[in-house]
Order: sequence, then C-alpha cells, then structure tokens
Amino acid sequence: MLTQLVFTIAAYIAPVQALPAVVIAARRGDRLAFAELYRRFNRAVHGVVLARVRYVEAADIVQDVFAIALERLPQLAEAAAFPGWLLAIARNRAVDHVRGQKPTDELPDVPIEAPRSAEVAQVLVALRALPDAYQETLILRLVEGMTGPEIAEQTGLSPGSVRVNLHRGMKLLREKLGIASEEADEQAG
Amino acid sequence: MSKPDDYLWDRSGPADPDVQRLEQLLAPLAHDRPLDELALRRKRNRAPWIISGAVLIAAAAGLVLYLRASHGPCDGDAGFAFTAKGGTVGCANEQVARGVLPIGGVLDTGTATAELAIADIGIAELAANTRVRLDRNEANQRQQIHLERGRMHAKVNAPPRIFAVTTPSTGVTDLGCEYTIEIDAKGKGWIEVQSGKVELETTAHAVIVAPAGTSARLRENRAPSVPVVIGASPALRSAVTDWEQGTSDALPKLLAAAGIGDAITLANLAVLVPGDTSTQISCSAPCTDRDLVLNRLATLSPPPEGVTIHGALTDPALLERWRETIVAEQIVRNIEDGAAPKK
Repeated sequence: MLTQLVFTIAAYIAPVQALPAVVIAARRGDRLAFAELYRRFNRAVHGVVLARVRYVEAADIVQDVFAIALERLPQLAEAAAFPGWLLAIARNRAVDHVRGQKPTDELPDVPIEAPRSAEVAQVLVALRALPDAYQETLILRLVEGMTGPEIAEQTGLSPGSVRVNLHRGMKLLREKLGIASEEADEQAG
Repeated sequence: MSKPDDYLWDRSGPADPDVQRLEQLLAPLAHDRPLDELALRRKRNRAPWIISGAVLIAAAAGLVLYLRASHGPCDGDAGFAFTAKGGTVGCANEQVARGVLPIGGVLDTGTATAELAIADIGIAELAANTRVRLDRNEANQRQQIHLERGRMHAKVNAPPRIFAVTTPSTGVTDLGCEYTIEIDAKGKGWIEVQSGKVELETTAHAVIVAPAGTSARLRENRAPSVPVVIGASPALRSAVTDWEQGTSDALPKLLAAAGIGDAITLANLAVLVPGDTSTQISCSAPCTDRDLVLNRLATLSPPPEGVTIHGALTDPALLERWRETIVAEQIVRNIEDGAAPKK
C-alpha cells in the first residue's frame, strides 16, 4: 500500500515520468496515471481517428478508445508497447465506426465560420486521400499541432520514418491542393 | 544550417508559409476535450454483465463439448483457430475442416488451403502442401509458429515482435506487416515483404531487416540472403549471390551494380560484412569491407543528420540509425509505388 502511494506520488512530482512507469501504474488501477496517459496521448488518438472519421464524431470515439484501453490495459504485457497498442485500438475503433456508413464528405459543422469551413473540408478530404502512412502523420502535425519528434514518441514510429512521412506527405498534399512547392519553384526557376 | 523542411519537422528554421497557413486553418480542429470519466464508468459498468454473459456462454459451450464427448486435440481453445477453404486439413493427425490448432499441434493442408487466425492480431493464409506447427501462444507477448514447408501469407497488425515465424533455417520476426514465405522441407525458399518490415535472423550478432518491396532468399542450413528490392537488376542479384558464395571480386561488383533504389541491400550488407579486416580490392587508406560499403551507400542514400560514415563504422547504434532511415524510405517508396494496402 505504502509502496503504491509512494509510487503514485512520485509519478506526479517528477516533471516527466517515463512512460512505462505511468502505464504500469495505470495498469495497477491508478486513475491519476490513466489520466496522465490520456493527457499525453489524447491528441495522437484524435489524429488517428480523424484520419478516418468525420470531425463531429471523432471526439466521442476518442473517449471510447480510452474506455476500451482502460478495460484492456491489464492484458498489455509490455508497457513500452503502449503507444502502438493504443493507436491500434484507435484505428480499429475508427474502422469499425466507418463500416456500414455511407461514404460522405466532411460535415460542414466544423468549428470554423464559412467560407473557411469549406476550405477546411477541402483540406481534410485531400489529407484523407493520401496514403495511410502520410495522412495520420500530417494530421498529427497540422491539426493536432504536434512536432515530428512528438509524433515519433507517441506513435512508436522512428523519427526518420516520421520525417520522411511528413516530407513526402506534404509534397503530395501540395499537389492535391494545387499549391506549388518551393522545390518545384526552385526547379522551375 | 537548416534544412528546407525543418519547420515542418519541428517548427525550427524559417517558417514555410504553406505549412503555417494549413496549421492556422486546421488548428481549431485540434482535440481539447478532457477525459470523460462517465464514459469510462459506463463502459466498466457493462463489464460485469459481459462477464456474466461470457460465463454462461462458456458453460453452455463446455456442456455441448462434454455431451459430444469428442475431445480431439483440435477441439481445444488454447491455440489458433483455423478453417480449411476446401478439401480437408490434418490437424495433429486428425482430418478436420476447422478447429483450433493447439500449442504443439501440427496443421498440414495437404491438397487444400487453410486460413489460420493468429490470435486476434492477424491472419495467415496457408497454401496447399503447407505444414505448420504452433509453438507459442502468449497473448500480447509472443506468438510463434514454425513453418516446416509450403507457403504462408501472413498479415499482422500488432506491436513489433509479438509474432514470429521460424523455418528450418531461419527466424522471421514480424515488425507489423504483411509478407509471404515459401520454403521446401529443407528450409530453402524465399520471403517477400508486401508492407511494413520483418527482421530475419542471421547470427546472434546480426539481424537483417527486410522492408516492404523487398525479397530475400531463404537458404538451407544458412542465414537468409541479403534482401533486394523486387525490381532489382539481374547484375545486382547475381553479384549478391556471388558475394554470398565468397567469390573473390564479388563485393566491388555488387557495389558497382547497386543503384539508388538498392540502398536497402547495402544498408543490410554493411551490418553483415567485416568491419575490421582488410578488403580484397585496392584501397588507398586502411579500410574495411564495411568502410567500402558505407562509402558507396553514402552516395546512394546519405546518412541522416548526426550520423557520419566514420560514426557508423565505430558505433553500431549510428549504423542502425542509418539503416532505419533507409528502411523507412524504402517503405515510403513502396507505398508511393502503389503497393500499400488499401483501407
């Protein structure tokens, strides 16, 4: 009991607790530790869900994903595998949600006033048309505001992969949106 | 000096106006909802009912099994479920069309094909004349099957290193991907990776990484060959074979035959070649085979930031970082070539 208490306190006094320790604490039933996991990963989960699901539905699915994670956490043997495990739950939950729904364009009720809402919808459609590896990474960067190193840490991808995904994904996104890239300008010039 | 995409990477360097505009446009969509404790409780409150239901179903299933009084090794529940797609499949010497392959059990497809569920993380399609054995089934830790012969197409969606396949000559560790293995009874055959990447065991100290869009030969009683991209030139393939057979001038031929798309072959070769013996070809300075490979590799795929040829020669972690970058680039190239799995 005392060990548990000391562990829990230590987890929140320390400025940045190592992820495996937080996962282990959450697995033992420490709700503060689980809240910390939510704090660290909610944007990543939202980004992964938003790559597949309409904006207005994504936030509810994020809550579902964490509820499923809380339930299944005791089955996760390797605490360090948490990021990949959690995002796999998010992908599966998003895919399950989309199954059976008719394909549709982004709903207009994004929290943005017209005429920018139309532009947002257009960008989301273009992002979702990118190869899987790029769309998630770019959504995490452009929507959730995460940096490349943060994306690598929270997805379990290597920094090299994330950087390549961002670079190539942005290049394709520019093409889809009809934006001339600096590289293309330089080549043309 | 900053790179052109530094801003896209970590917001350092000069701001890219397109990226900045998209950031501003999309920022209002970022997630900011707090954790909904009620949603968690609702989910948890359902658990006792789900458990009660599961207990009742399990009890009913147990009763049915008991009444059937047929407790063959393929009727258990501590293994991988399988279904034959035609004909009959032998599971632990019984002819059955479906069931559960128990730990230690052997599935022989004979003239039929079968589908094996890899716990809840993936599927393995087994061709006719394929024989597999389930060696381990530890949820979320390690699931391992042994492919004795035949062809298996595996598709796995799980954290790296959860699923592994052993063959008579090597071990294949899944890093989250889709791949096909075909071998004869002596372990001779090939592996082709369709998405993600796999690790192939060589010796205790070296591991080959085969990413999407590459294939490697599996050899009898020997380590697997160095992976080559699926469209590699005949000259490169031939040079790889010569190098593996120990032909004296194979290395320089291999390096000369390698083009930009072959960086993954050289990145793996760099891990395998000696780093401390002199090379057979002329070299103005004291240099090793690894030195030669890395110098050629640098012209095809420059080392990532923070890694130099010298660093990679002296620090295995830096060499691994370089290879990891090339693996990532190969996966990306494969996606862009249209080989990526569709949703």
